Amino acid sequence: MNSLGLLAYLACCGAMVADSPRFSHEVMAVLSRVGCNSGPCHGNLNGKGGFKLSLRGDDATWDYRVLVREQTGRRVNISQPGESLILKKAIGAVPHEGGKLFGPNSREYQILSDWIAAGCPQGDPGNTLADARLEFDSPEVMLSWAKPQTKLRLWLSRDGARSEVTDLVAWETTNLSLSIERDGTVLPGPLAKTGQRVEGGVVARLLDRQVLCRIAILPTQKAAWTEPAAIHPVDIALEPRLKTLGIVPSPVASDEVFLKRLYLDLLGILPTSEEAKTFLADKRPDRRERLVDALLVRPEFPDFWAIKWADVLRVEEKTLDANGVRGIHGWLRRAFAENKPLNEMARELVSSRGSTYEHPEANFYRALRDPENRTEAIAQVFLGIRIACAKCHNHPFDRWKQEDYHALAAALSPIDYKVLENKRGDNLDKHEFVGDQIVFLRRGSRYSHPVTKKPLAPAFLGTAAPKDQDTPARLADWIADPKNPFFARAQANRIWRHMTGKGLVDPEDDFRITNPPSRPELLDLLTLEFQRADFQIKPLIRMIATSRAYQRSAQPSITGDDPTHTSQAMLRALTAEQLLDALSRTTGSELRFEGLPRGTRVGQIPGVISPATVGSGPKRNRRNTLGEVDRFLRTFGKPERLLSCDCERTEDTTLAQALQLVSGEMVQKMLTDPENRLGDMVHEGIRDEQAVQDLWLAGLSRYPTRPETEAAMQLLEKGGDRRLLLEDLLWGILSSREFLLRH
Amino acid sequence: MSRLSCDGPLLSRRLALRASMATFAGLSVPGLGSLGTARAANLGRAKSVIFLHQWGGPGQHETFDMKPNAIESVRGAFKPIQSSLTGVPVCELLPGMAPWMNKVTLIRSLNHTMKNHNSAGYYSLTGYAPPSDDQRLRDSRDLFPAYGSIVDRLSPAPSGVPTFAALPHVIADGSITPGQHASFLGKKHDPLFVGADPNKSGYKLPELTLPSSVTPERLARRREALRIVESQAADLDNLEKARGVSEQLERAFSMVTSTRVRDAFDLSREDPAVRDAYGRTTYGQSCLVARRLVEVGVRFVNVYFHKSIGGCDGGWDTHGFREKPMNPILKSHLLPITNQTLPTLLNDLQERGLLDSTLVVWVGEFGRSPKINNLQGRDHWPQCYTALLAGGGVRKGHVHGASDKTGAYPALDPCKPEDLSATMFHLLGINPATELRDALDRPLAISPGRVIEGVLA
Repeated sequence: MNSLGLLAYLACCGAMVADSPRFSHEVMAVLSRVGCNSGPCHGNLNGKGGFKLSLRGDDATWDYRVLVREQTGRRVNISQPGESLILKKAIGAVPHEGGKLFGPNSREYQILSDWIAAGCPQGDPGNTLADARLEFDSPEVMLSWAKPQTKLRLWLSRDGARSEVTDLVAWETTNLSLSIERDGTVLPGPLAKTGQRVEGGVVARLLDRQVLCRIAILPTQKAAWTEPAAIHPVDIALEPRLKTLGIVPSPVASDEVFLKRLYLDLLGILPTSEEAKTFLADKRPDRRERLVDALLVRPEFPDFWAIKWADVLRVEEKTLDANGVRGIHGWLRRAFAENKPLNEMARELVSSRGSTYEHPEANFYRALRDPENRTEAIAQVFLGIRIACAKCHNHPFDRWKQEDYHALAAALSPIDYKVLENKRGDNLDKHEFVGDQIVFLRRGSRYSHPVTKKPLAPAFLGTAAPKDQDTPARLADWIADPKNPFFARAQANRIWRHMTGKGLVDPEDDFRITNPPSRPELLDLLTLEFQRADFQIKPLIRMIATSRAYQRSAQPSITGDDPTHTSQAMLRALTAEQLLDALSRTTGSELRFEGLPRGTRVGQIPGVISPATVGSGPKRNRRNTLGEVDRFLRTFGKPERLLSCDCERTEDTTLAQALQLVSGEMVQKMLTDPENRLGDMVHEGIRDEQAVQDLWLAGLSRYPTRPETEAAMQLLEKGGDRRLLLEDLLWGILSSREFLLRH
Repeated sequence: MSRLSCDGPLLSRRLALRASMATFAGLSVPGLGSLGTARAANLGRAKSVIFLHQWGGPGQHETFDMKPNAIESVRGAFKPIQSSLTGVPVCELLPGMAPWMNKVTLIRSLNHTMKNHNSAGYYSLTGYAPPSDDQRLRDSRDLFPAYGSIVDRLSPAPSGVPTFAALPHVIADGSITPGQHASFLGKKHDPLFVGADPNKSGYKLPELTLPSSVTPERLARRREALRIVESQAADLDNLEKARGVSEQLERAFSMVTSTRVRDAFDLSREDPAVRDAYGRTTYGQSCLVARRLVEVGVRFVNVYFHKSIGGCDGGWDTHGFREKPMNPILKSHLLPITNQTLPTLLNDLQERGLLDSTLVVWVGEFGRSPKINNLQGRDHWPQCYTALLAGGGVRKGHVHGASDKTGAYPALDPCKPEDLSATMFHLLGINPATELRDALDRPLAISPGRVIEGVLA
């Protein structure tokens, strides 16, 4: 079969003389185009109305069988094509829950009826588009609200020949600010606000090909770009696209805002009053760069970044036990303290082996107990690919096939465990392990494709695995190889997201054709810089933190809100650990944990379960009940670390959080602690004005304004117990958005 | 934000919602099709659901699907008594339910394949089959949310009233049973959970109670202090995230200072005779709290029968282990409590004119084995079990489906937990095909099942 048969058909379709349409090509394209095989319709797991197609045309052989062989003569009627049920349903001649899909004079109708009239030729499902390319006229289209629509055209091309397939593809938009009609007309979608900038994309799909066209609709009036030309590489990478899109960035934020933001993003803590005073008194032009450099070498830096990785590596007590949790958390902390390149860290984790007590990195596998979990975690954490969809069917929104998933699982199937001891508390709980175990490589392990049941050769997402027994180690080499096509981009994007709150690809671990980066030029730059720095994170963090892009205000500019947050900073709720440490530092009420040295912060706790606090009563925690610290942390979104995804750490603002502030025991306890900051103030008879300044510096990292000072002093002069007055004033600071949000 | 979805021609949640409302208005929606008029008439009949979860798994043979003609080792020791619905007897220890049978619907053909409490419990609380039949199924954010959390997301109660409340236990079997909270929908859709025992004096909502040293005057002063700081940051109001923080804080203030929701939890305001009628048990008083919550507009209340699966005074898990045979526990504990509380709740709702707008669902995570084991108990049996539905747009005096002659397998119209969930959502006015995004952004219908049309009035 001519692999460009589709083209051949198309080329002569005006005359309708040559080949008749084939199932594997034209008919499958039509079934996708009008949505017959979509999830809510016949692509549903259970089909619809007794008719089930493969999801989004995954399996042409299956689809051919159900259309042609099942209920012979009903769905397709070769002697009278017009009597075929699929045609009568599609044009609405008989009741159809999916409604009318096309008319009897449409191109779709023509293809299906020609195909049926020709005796339903099956075509060649194994060989459809071969090496032909699917492409738009242009990969990017800028529209204006003056004329906010255009007709997109699609082409199949090979060897210089091309043929239009606009009327054969299936369309989708990447978000609802755009709509697409079946003839290829793109226009503002239901979520677009008239006159306001829209950014998005249109994805066209033909058989197993998908291609994206970036679309923007710009306001008719262009605002003037007032900033001096960019000199920082990050800003240079951003500027042309921002200008093209008509985005004027927000101004750079004040020193006060920058100070607090940088402490929270690099170290996860607030500056002390003294640190704030020192920085705010610094008038040198390079004070911000100096602060970045100073914070990058602080011991809190590895504490904070170890937590981020502990979250996605499932560092939790039930499976790793307390020893394992301490072990791998310490290993991660050391890696960041020693500036270990991230690709080396990944190599050591993915190739880890041995006793989980003696080689803490082997806890990586201790937490991921079957090949499927390992596959999904490694793809998501290291490569930025959510491959889970491809476990059961080809990935609907990306190029990954079911076989890619299982070939990677095959590479990870030899991992096994020798459980040396297991003193678990619950013998029925197969997730619980207490005691050492050895991660080892089982020789001669076999992994079969779940559908075909045939043994699968290990492969790394399209790259054949080298012939070697130790496929996990070879996988580790492939991931750590500087030329790996996924790793550097995924990690550069992840670091950008940790710093700014939003990935250039968002979510940060979901790279796919249909989810393109918002600012591709910047992602290219960050990737390159990360590779150039030999995969050390600090140079990249330094570059980001010293850019204007990072230092901008959270307020939208005159050109409106920028949801990509590349021209405007993002408000983020403090993480649970940041918040509790900030509360403790601001009130001066120390949290003391049993078995940990004094001064230990919540942000240094290795696992999901915190040690009991000193004086919190009976030894923690019957099974399934949380101590007060963990209740607080859970309410503010600390994850249980059961997924390999940052999304498990929630950033929602909830009523339960607000109730913690208004009536919760933790805040109240810290406010009333006789040994806290207020105790000293009362004891030493600090004057009101000084007290106000101290509290502002401690909680908000800035001096109070004149009106604030006056209003606060007025409140303190109301009379009554001075201690209670101070508590109430401090409560106002702790419940303010300025305190609760990184901005 | 809606992204690409498996549904091809984009149908966002928002659009799907609009679609379901359009269907409600009797319109046909392209892509969804029009529903039969019988279904349209019942869509949204229930304003609230009281979901009485019978943890442990009640036996169909000892409650609402008795098999008096089966051999002794199947039919058990208890006799059926005649009810108000001809041919549908109830257990002799549930005489209080006999007059109710011509006003409720039974589904006698529920079935699934999960044999462990936690996996089956999750299934019964979400309508989604768990990935594996795991005795210690771990509660993680990739599992499905509780029904009430979905309602909170798609069709919440008016502001100031929680949509979803859960009481008086967190159920567990060794580890916490998944399906009791919002999971990937986010914590803001978690239930208002109240774990105190409403059968004890001083029952109240701890979260809604200020610390004793914080007087109303001090609370006012604290809000004044907050205003001082916020007045410098007024431009934060431009940003949605910041507005969200303020809104939640305002809600918290209004909940601690207003009385409406708090009073619903204050059982001292209830007539002692009514409290007695419900039964002075944790479960009985919890059902009374549920009614009070429905009265103030709460949309979904989960009441868990007991926190543990079994034991002499626990849930319904009557294997006969540890020399505790089934019949004495049924006779002295499980059935008397049920006989006291369930008809009282139904009566009370009816007398207050709430039953028509309140769907009451009584169901466990599975049923119990047809054959009595050699410990004089019955074991787990998901292959066939019974649910009882009342009010809220379900038929009066109806049995849907049937079990075979030993109560072992469905003989007619088998139904799955997801069919029950689709039916509940439908009655609440929410299209069961509405899609949500899970933690990995995969589009999933809120119920993968079909509305059981046979139970709709």
